[in-house]
Amino acid sequence: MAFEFTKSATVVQFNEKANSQPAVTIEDVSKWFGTFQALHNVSLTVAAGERLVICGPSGSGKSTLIRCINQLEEHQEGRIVVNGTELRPGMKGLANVRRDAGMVFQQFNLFPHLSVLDNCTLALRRARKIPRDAANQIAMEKLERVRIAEQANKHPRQLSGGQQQRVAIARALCIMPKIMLFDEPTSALDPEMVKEVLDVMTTLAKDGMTMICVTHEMGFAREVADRVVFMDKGAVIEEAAPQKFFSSPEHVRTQQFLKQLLH
Amino acid sequence: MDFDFAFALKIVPRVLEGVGNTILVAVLSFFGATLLGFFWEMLRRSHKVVRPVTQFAIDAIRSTPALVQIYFLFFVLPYYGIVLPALFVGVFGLSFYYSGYISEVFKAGIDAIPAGQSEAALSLGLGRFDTVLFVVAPQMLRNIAAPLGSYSIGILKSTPLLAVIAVPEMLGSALDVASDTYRYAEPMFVAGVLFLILALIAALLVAVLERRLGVLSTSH
Repeated sequence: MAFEFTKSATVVQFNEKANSQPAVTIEDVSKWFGTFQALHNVSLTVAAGERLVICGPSGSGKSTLIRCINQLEEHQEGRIVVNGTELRPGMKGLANVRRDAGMVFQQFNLFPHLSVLDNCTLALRRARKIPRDAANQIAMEKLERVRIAEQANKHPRQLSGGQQQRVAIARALCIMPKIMLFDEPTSALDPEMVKEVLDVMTTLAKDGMTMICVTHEMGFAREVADRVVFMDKGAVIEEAAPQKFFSSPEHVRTQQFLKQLLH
Repeated sequence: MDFDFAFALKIVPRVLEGVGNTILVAVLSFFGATLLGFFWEMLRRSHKVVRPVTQFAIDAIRSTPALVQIYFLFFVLPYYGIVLPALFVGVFGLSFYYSGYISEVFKAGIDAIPAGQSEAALSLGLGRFDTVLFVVAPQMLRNIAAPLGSYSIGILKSTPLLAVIAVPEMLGSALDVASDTYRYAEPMFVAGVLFLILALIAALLVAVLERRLGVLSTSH
């Protein structure tokens, strides 16, 4: 079966990369917003080339966790290491670490005053100091990859939600990230636009991109994820390969969550 | 007293003598108020101890009449050995008074930009400075253009306040004519019309600027 074939290909690739350093290591990370503890001693390792799906009820800390990986939120305890660099609050060179992790947001967050092309090239031109022509070339390549190159000269507001999110993915790819972080990328989309975004994400996964996705798209998790992580109340409750996760979840809370999601 | 239209026309050149200073004071005060207003807003966003102090200062500036502030600068400060030229007091006074309002314009303009915008920029590896310059500022500019434009006209219309400290401007020129001729209707009418023309020109400039910024954000 085609499905089985993809899975085994994934495993081979995963094994090849098993020797190299993990893409992301999270050790005992805790975070508070004021007195509210958003993360409780979270530990998680993501290998290079691995695809991780994080799910859980709202307020479970999954978005906070993914935002800690590029320090849009600062953690107060524990260690986060991205591609061998430990992240510390207020550290120097944070911009360089962030360039290793492309982020896709729920609300797209495209720059409304810039064209699609300029959205993609801004970081290349300003942070990487790549000349405009070369930057445009890179951007067009990435826009091609998310199949939206023909909209390059439009402004974000002229595009549909699904198109905007695909541009956001292309924009994140432009900085040549080693990891892609997706924070509920399809939650703000109309139902008929979810598929075009998931298709792009699936293609990325098949090309071997390391991915951490916060999502409730369980079909996507089943097809693409190497591992599914369930979070609740700021803690990791369960992590398992998708097959096991969906067929025989161990924890009651995971079972309840899946039941609610599938009904 | 009958309104003498021929007399009104005749005194236009004399009233216009003050127009240069009116424009000068208005333009300088506008830039002064904008810079100072931006400075207040940056202070207000800087530190949680500085914030309430700045907020109080801004409220105090906005809650006292401009005329009181100008009198204070011109007539009270000399008691403490600080004597400032009238033109300077005029520009500084108007800048100071309007900076309180303009800081609120900046506040609203920045608040209206979703946090996701700078988060997206930072996540792409842009530095703080580039994030402000290329992502926050252009969007803020679009938000503040209209209210800033209306304050520029407000400042223009406030320049006659400076007549009280004898800054030679357009209302002052009109008053000079009035005291020379004992006729008030024509000089006030002429001054009013000239202010109207200046304000219309300013409004036109603002509209052009707004359209340009609008075009920047929506062009194909």
